Amino acid sequence: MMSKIVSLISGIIFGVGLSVSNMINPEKVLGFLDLFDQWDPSLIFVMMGAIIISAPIFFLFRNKNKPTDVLSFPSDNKMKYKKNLYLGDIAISYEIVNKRSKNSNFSLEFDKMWIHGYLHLLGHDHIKNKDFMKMKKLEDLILNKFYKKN
Amino acid sequence: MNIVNFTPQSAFVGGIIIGFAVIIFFIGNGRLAGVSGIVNATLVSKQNRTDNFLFIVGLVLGPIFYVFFTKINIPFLITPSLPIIISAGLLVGIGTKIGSGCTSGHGICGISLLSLRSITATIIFMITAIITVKLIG
Repeated sequence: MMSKIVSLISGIIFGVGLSVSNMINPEKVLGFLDLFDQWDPSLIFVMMGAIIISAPIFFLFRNKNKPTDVLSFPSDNKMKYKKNLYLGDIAISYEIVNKRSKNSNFSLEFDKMWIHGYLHLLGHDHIKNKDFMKMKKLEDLILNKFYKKN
Repeated sequence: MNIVNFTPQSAFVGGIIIGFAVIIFFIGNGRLAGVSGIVNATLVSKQNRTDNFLFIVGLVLGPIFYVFFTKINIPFLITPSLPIIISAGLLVGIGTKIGSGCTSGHGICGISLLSLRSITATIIFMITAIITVKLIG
């Protein structure tokens, strides 16, 4: 019920914003695109206004309002067993993987999760955007090893 | 280039209001308010269909309420040619589907998230639209 009210209200507010800025008038949008002749820069101000408000909130809530899909528990003492090294444990949410695999397939979504967890066990994190990109690259690299196009 | 019909104040205030709508949708639903994506999902996906549909209903109601309560008349000028309107609508639909977003999804949400993909998409669709206006406009 809550999400329905939220959707309706935000739709109405969005529509009011479009009205106040006159952007529901196609001619107004066209004016912005007529750069070389009769230019109306208003659309830039609409986007700036919207971005100024939403960017800080997006930044605060980045990755934080999603249910947890994978957790890593690095072990303090890295035990050696024969040739293997015990790094810690990874817990993966079956429900989330199952949900995601509706538009994909289960083993691919599952592999994405454990690879992410595995990189955490190796000490990677994604608090900074730069580290996030680095981690993403490594994840894709490992994933590609399993799903090489034949 | 001449600058005409420039309304920075109302544009900026309208933008801020849109920004609030995006935040409310994001915090309340955990999703981004990309209009083309929501319209697409309403038509083809069962997931969150009522939510998506209600957002679009709100989008239509917003201007109606605005005009009703403020008595401000918003001009609405569009080409009278039906074939142009239909083909333009189709192109927007196909383009936003392939590009995964439009002015709201890429231009506002994506840029706010500093997404490289969205910044690229916004620059490209703006350039394409400017060229189109130059050629046909």
